[in-house]
Amino acid sequence: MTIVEAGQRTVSFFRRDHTYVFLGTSALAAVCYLLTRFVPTLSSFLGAGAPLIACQGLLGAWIAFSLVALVVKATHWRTYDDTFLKKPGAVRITRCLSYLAWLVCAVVIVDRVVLSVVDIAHYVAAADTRTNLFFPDVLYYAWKGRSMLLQGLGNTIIVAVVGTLVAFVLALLLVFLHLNPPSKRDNGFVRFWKKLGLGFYKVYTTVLRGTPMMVQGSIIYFGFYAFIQGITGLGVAEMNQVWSVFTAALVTIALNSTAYLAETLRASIEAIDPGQAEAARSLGMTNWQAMMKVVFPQGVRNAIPAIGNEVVINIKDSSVFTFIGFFELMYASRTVSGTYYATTEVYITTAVIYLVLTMVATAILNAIARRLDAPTSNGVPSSN
Amino acid sequence: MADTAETIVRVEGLRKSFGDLEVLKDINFSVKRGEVVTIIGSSGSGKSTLLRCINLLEEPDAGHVWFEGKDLTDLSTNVDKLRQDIGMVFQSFNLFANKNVLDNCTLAPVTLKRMSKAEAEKVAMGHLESVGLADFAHADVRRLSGGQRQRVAIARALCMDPTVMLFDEPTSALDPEIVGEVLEVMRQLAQQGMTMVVVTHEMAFAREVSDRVVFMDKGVILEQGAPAQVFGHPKEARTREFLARYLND
Ligand SMILES: Nc1ncnc2c1ncn2[C@@H]1O[C@H](COP(=O)(O)OP(=O)(O)OP(=O)(O)O)[C@@H](O)[C@H]1O
Ligand SMILES: [Mg+2]
Repeated sequence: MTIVEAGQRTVSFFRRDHTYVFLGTSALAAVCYLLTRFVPTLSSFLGAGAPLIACQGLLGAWIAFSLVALVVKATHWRTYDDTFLKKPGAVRITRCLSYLAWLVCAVVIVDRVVLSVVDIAHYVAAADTRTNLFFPDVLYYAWKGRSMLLQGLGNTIIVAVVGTLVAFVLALLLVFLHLNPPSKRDNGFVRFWKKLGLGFYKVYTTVLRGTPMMVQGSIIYFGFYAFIQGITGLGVAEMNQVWSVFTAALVTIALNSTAYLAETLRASIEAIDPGQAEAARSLGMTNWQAMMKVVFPQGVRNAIPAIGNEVVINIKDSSVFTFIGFFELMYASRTVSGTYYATTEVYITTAVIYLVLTMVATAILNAIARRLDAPTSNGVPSSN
Repeated sequence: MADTAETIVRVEGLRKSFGDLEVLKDINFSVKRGEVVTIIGSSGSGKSTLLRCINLLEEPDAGHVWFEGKDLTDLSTNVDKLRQDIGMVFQSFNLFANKNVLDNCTLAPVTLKRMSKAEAEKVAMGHLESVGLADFAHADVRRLSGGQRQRVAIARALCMDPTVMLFDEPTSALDPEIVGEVLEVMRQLAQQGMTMVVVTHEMAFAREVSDRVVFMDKGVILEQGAPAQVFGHPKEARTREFLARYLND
């Protein structure tokens, strides 16, 4: 969108006669009126005196006026355009009044929401005991546990992003096994390997998609731990260097996502019209060339939204690595919870962090998809 | 014509079934250099299957397909290599959707003929010129009309400099008013001496342009001959019946 376009849009927004102007603004005004009933915090500039009463008066007046207008609209449904409310002068005045209502609402929201949160945050940051009020306590524990939560968040992001990227590369390799069906013209040796590859693909995707990642993580972590220790005879300290829970989590998430991404890639490759591959073959290209030059690039492009979904899924599902003791966001939250004897207050923060993280990730991935001219996805994908 | 010319394509004892359905029943058929052969016949008679067996897009169950003296059905033959000389044009165009017009034309030459991109583009521009689409070289193929797409498909096949061109109902997916622009390109190609095998329902084209007409029915070649003979004095009752339907239109 160019600046000119944006300007034109803004102008037309202000000139238009908005359909829900009374309904929308009066609802907002009502909410803000309720907000003014809350106790003001330290840095509140409206306080409880004259400025507050002025705001309440304006909001009340606007709500009353809106109600009148809405009643007129309801009773004169068909002839509303002929009522006094639609006289050009009246329209202009109501529009100006509605802007005033917006302004008052904004002031109240800043005063009673933004500044209150800031004040509470300031207070709890300096406090050394909980307040026994729910919302301030959420902030209190978030602040107390901040370094652990941030460390957990970092680990979650690393495992989810790196794991998915590695998985994407592995899935590209894996899906090749499926793209090369054995043909009558191959010699026995080639045919054997192609069949073996196809079999491996099927077993791999079935097993990895058919078992929970928590179980896979446990088998990979404990299994390899015992295996490596058995071979090398290392002590616990060295073992944690060689085969840490972090490595195990990364390996698990990569192997797990490989199965899903390979199936996604396969589906989007198979969705490409086979006529294109036939045309490539008819020009003399080998099956491999037709795949690599024509079918594959299109299939991968169509799979981009699914790859993005996989990142978001992994952000959420990496929480199962709490089970093997990997310090990701969920494990960090549990640690904070255990340290301060608080549960819901802590997990609310955890949920908010996950939500923001997945929303940001979705936005970034959609922007990338748009850049690459691929279809974009909407909403947050379900879990694996 | 062509009595003394060498045979380029020879099909012998060709059989093909899909499951229980026997689509081609012992087909014998050949094409000489410079010859334009049209294959006509009702829907499901096996025309497409025969054409697709000639470049082995469909693997025959029995019989042989010789192209320039090499047996394509021999398992040791490099079919991919031979296909470079057998151009094919499909009913549904089958352009590469991820490439523009020019790249559609240059992909195979650059990949297979060790041609530089510039060289391949020069050749491609020549062919696009001859199908009347030079101005569209950098257009997205999804923006083209059906007739334009099919002409691009023809140019793409010509870029490999094929010995023979196979057309499978190249105009059947087109609106009647743009059929002509594709047929015109094919007519030109025939005049330049290209060897062509054309499956078509365009009887006027078959009559006017081809050297020989082949009528297929239920998986066999029922009769073949010069257009004047097949259209003017068909020997078989089935042929007469089939042609009557078209001539009434
Ligand atoms: N891949 C396939 N699998 C199964 N059956 C097929 C396949 N291809 C073709 N057939 C069947 O073989 C028969 C002959 O098909 P073919 O496409 O060769 O006919 P056609 O003469 O080209 O007909 P049309 O004029 O409709 O294109 C049809 O009954 C068709 O359904
Ligand atoms: Mg057909």
